[in-house]
Amino acid sequence: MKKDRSKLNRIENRIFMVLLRFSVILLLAIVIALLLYLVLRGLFKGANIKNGFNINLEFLTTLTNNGGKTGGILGIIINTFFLITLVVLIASPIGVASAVYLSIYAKEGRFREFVKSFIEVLSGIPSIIFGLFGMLLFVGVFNLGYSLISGVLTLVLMILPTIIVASENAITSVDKSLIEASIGLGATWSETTFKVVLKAARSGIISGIILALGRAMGETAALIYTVGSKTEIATSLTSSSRPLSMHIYLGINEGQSLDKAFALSLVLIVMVLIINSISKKLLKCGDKK
Amino acid sequence: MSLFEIKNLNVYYGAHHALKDVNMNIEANTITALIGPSGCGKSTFLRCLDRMNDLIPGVKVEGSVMFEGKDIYKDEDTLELRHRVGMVFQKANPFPMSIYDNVLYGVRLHYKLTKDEASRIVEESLKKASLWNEVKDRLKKSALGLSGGQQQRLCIARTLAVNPSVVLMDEPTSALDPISTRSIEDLMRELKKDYTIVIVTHNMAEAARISDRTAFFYIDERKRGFLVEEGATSEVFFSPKDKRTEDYIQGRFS
Repeated sequence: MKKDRSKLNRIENRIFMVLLRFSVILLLAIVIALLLYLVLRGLFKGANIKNGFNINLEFLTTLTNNGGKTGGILGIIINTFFLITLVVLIASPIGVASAVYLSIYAKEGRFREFVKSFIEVLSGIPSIIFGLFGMLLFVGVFNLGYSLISGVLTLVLMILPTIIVASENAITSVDKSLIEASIGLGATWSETTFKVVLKAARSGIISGIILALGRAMGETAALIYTVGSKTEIATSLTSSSRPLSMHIYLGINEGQSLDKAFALSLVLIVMVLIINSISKKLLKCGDKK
Repeated sequence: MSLFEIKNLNVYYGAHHALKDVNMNIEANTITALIGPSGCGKSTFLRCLDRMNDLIPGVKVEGSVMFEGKDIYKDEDTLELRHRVGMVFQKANPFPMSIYDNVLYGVRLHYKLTKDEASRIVEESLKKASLWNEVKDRLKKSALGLSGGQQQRLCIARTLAVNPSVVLMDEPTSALDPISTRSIEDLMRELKKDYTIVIVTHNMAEAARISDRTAFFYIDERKRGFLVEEGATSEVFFSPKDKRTEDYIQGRFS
């Protein structure tokens, strides 16, 4: 007997749609609640508009005093900026170069598979372990001290896998026929890599770098034992320097008000969002050309 | 002396013997069509002529391919070879850049150009590929906005821009509609004056329409491709020497 599937089809579709919608709404609700809470608590003292603001222009544009107890956070913001700029400048070329090697130059075989699984393992290591490793290697063995550069190098190690995996995926999804066309016109492999492959894979690679950058900006555990805690603007690579994430962590540790922690968190999130949207804009402008 | 002289060519992909004992000459300023069933090694053969097979891991080529009297598998200058022997692929594969930059991509690898020279080469190449009138007002726009047929003609223009003496075409019209196909076929006849063309095609009618010479490849019981016969197109189509050629062509026509 032929089954009557039309009713089944209707009911099934309806249940399925309800479940799908529910998941999306749940996700939206959580994100919105989180952001709303953060914005309220970050902006207003005790999350109440009558108590006045946590953040004002003065807070953002004056230097920190008293180890963070009074004053603004300008120095901290600048330190954060130094930190992630250096991390991106160092990690991106190494990460993209590794991805190019793995996806274009390395012969298929055990070595490549070994390196790939190695990178996967690396991306799964908890950040506190990078922190401890950075403390032993950069702070200790290389004698760089608790400093900007120790923090930068530790974060570079931590985010490299993210950049490599994203770049590799972007590169391997470049149409093979473009590579053939380039080689067929008498280009060398390196010309093909720079002029065609990296160009075609650019948006995927940059998304990977932005993702990594977001992680680096919010990272604390990898920095506790490496970057130092001075609230002044770093004057050299070996200055101890405190970025925003560390400022939040240390503030809570030292028993400062939660209001301040939320205000700082809000600043951090806004910074991440601004950097994301700027890089996306840049990416779009580049694509139009 | 023929432009290409191929002697005892054998190609292996790993353990698979893909092409067996091919002997063939290709004359200058002719269109040679390579026909045969899928897997018969005609694309493999085509890709031996400019060493594009080198890109495939585990490939091994034996025998000799003489181009203008030089064995291209002994002479290591593959960049110069691919400069002289251009290739157009089955799928139109313009680079994700402007039409202008696409045409100049290959030229810029080999020559340093002034702005005037560059514009002249772009115009000439696009005219040769009969695409100039359609794109002359949007040279700086992305090539990806062109239609499939236009993209394929752009790829031909890009190949012609480096001024090769041979153009290899791997089923260049198989993904195109009949009108675009027709315009590319007309183009090939036009190009024959200045270039030598070798084309792989599954379309018998196309081979009959455009080629001077036809080479028929077939597969033996061990899945090795080999050359059955090669000759003037009219002979291969209307009085083939080999029974297999006759069966294949008749099967395709009737």
